[in-house]
Amino acid sequence: MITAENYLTSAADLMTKPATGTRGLWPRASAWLLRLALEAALDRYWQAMAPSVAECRNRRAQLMMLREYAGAETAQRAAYLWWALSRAGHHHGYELALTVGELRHLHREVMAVVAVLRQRSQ
Amino acid sequence: MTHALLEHLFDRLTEQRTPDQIAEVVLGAFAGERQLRAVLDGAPADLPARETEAAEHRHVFLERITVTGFRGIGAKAALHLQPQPGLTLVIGRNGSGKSSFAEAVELSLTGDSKRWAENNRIFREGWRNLHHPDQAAIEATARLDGSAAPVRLRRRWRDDATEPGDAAVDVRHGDQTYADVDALGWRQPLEAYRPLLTANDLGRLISSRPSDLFDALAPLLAIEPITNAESLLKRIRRELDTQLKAVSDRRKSLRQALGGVDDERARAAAKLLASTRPDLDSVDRLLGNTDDVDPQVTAYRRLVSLPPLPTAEEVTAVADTLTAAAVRVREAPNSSVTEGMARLLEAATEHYDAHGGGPCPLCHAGVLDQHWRTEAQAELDRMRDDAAAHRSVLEGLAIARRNVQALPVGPGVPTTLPEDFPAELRERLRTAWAVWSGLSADADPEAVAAHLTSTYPALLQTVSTVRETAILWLQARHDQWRDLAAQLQQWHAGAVAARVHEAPLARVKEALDWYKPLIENLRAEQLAPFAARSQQIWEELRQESNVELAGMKLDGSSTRRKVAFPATVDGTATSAMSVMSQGEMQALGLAVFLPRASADASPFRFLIIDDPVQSMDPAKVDGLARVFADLAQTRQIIVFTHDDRLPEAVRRLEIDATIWEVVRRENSTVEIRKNIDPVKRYLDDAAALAKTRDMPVEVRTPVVVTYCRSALEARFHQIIRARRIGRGEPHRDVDALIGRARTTMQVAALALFDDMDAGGQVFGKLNTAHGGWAATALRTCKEGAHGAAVNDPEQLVADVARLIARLK
Repeated sequence: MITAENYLTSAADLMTKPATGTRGLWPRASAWLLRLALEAALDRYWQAMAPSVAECRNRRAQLMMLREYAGAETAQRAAYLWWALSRAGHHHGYELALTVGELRHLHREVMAVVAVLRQRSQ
Repeated sequence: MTHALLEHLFDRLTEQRTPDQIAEVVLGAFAGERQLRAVLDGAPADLPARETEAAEHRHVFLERITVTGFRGIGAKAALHLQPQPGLTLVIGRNGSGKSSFAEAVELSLTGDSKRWAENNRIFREGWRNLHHPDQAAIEATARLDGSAAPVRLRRRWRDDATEPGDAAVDVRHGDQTYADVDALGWRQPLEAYRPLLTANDLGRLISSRPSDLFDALAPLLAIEPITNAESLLKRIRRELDTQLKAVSDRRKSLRQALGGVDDERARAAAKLLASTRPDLDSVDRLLGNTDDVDPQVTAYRRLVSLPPLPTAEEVTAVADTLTAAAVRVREAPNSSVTEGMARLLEAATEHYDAHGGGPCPLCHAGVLDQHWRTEAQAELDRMRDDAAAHRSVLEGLAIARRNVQALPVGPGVPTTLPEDFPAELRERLRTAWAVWSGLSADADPEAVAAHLTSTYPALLQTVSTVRETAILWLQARHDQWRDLAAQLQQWHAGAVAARVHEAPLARVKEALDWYKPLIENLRAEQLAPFAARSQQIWEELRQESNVELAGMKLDGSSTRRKVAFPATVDGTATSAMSVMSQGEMQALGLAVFLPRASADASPFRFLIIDDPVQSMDPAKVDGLARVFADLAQTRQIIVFTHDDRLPEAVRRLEIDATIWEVVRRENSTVEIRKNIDPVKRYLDDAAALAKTRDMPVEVRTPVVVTYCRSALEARFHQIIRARRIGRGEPHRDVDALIGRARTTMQVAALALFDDMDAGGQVFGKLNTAHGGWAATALRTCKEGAHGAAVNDPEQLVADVARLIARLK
């Protein structure tokens, strides 16, 4: 199984090293990998904390539940990131892809949230 | 503030042991122009009295913006706002008319400001809505903290009005009517804090001159009384400088003119004027001095003042007399024969008289008798007469000669001539004189007379020419000097007047030197909190930008004033402006202007921001949302945006905000609906979670209850605020009260009974007013969050929503 950390590393690699066939795609692909990292961290968190929530396929519900378990701030951060990454990962007409600066910011945020979730679940 | 600044001045003066001379000027400049001039004139300055603390402006919040027939809005549309701290987002597509609300507020507040009108040419032409040309009107309703009566700012235009400035303005606070917004005392704070940030304002960092930005930020520092003092000193310095400079310029040109004149006085004056600060007394003496010191002038003067020569006629007369006398002498009888005969006859008559007649003792032929004696006597008398006549003739000649000697010619003929005298004339004079004086005095009288008449006219004419030449020379010299002397006299008067300014100017300069470091320090000190706040906002907004801001600085003065943003890019020092992208600039603009607009000293507790996300990177949007959320703790933040990222970030980050959506239909009909408010957001989330069937009900229910309780509390807070603020209670107090109400029941009691301690009556009241379900819903929210069983979370959400809808 691919862990949140694996996804984070892959996303970072994609952002810094040009890979064959990723020309022009890497910003969205990176965002997508970051979103996968966040989701993997959420899954891992809920597996440990409340398996019944982990089984729920509704991400919004999972994110709302964080408020109760991980605290409002973590819940907000995770919710915002999930939304921002989903948006960036999907195609929006006329909207430009993220810049490397933004991606770096998002990467750092996801890394922080992943770390918090991991810590809380231990 | 003025008082504090004055104290500051006194402290620095004491600390630096500034001499009284300078200190007086420093304080005089602070007190104002009249006092400064008094100080400089040597009179004592009366400094302003200690000011009582300026009346604190009452905080202003916005309650409603109503717009009709203005810009993008046709039929009347109103935007309702909570007049309290909090975040409101007004979202709408480009062209939906949302910005018209922002512009309406701006025009209501600052419409009378000329500068504003000048800067908004496009706006000036397109202010009227074309779909609704009648009855254009805008109205902004504001609340003064602690006052129950709203302030209404209304502008209405007649149908034929073409300029936004042609509006009928109506400003009211309760029963009171004001002439305009300025009468509310808002003009200065509006300019200093400008609670309206349009894209234009944000773009100002890029487009404006450095001095504009400086001017926009300078009022924040509230050190104008001191910068005004500095400006006043500079103006006085310029004034004094100008006067001294004029004298100095005149001195230079006059000195040049004097140099071109061959005149001892001009030379002396030019020498005096060579000094940058000529000795005015010497100039005065020079001007007053009529005695010539120039030996040449003396020589000429002497020529002119020689005694006049006798006329030619006089000399001729003298010569004629001499000639006549000579003729008479020549024609007189030989006197020596006559005298011998006379002596002989005398001896003979004496002999006759003693011895009587008889034969002649000499010839013995003749007889001496009485007859002879008579004849002899007659002869003798005749001879005596002849002798007398002869003597008299000689005498006449002697007198005539003396008269020649006495002719006053010598003293009237110059013996020496000035060095530069024309050589030809000099030679003529010398010759004429030599000819004239080349005759010995005892020469034959007739020759002398001829000499006189033949040589005198030449001499006379030459001397006369010499004299005329001298007069002309003196005349020319006098004319040149007279003109220059007049100019010099004028300059002297000006210089004496201007010299009075020298000491004041020196003092003014020293006072300026004194102020300069003071102002720099003050600026830095006063700017520090704002700079720190800007720094904070920048940190929040910059995200991954590699531009690191190192504060901001207000630099320079007068025409070189600017705002500096020292920055580092990847650790290399640079100026922020030169390396930033447009998005970063916009972020910097917010970082610079948000602290200004939300300054503590500003009475405006609202802040309108129009389209801040435009060119901002999406990643900065969450930072921006956080910045707004933070500001919204103490300010009423109203953000207009066409971009859904900001509202979305606000929702995701669970930032308390009211979101209005503006939709524009055909004919500029603008509809406003509440997109989401915190109460609804909590309810929506609660409903969504309650419906999540693939999560066990016992797991999700406590969270659903938490959201329901948050929704209820948010509603209660709204009720408490609306009621108390409507009554005129200050926000601070209301906030503090809500802060003290910790439990759900205390909050409910405050909302329902206006009494925190009435918690015991809450359920009863809900029961009677709305029914048992209402009391149960509240009880469930209160207890369920702590683990009490809840059978049907979806029913709970429905009941809570119903209760909230009924709560007024």
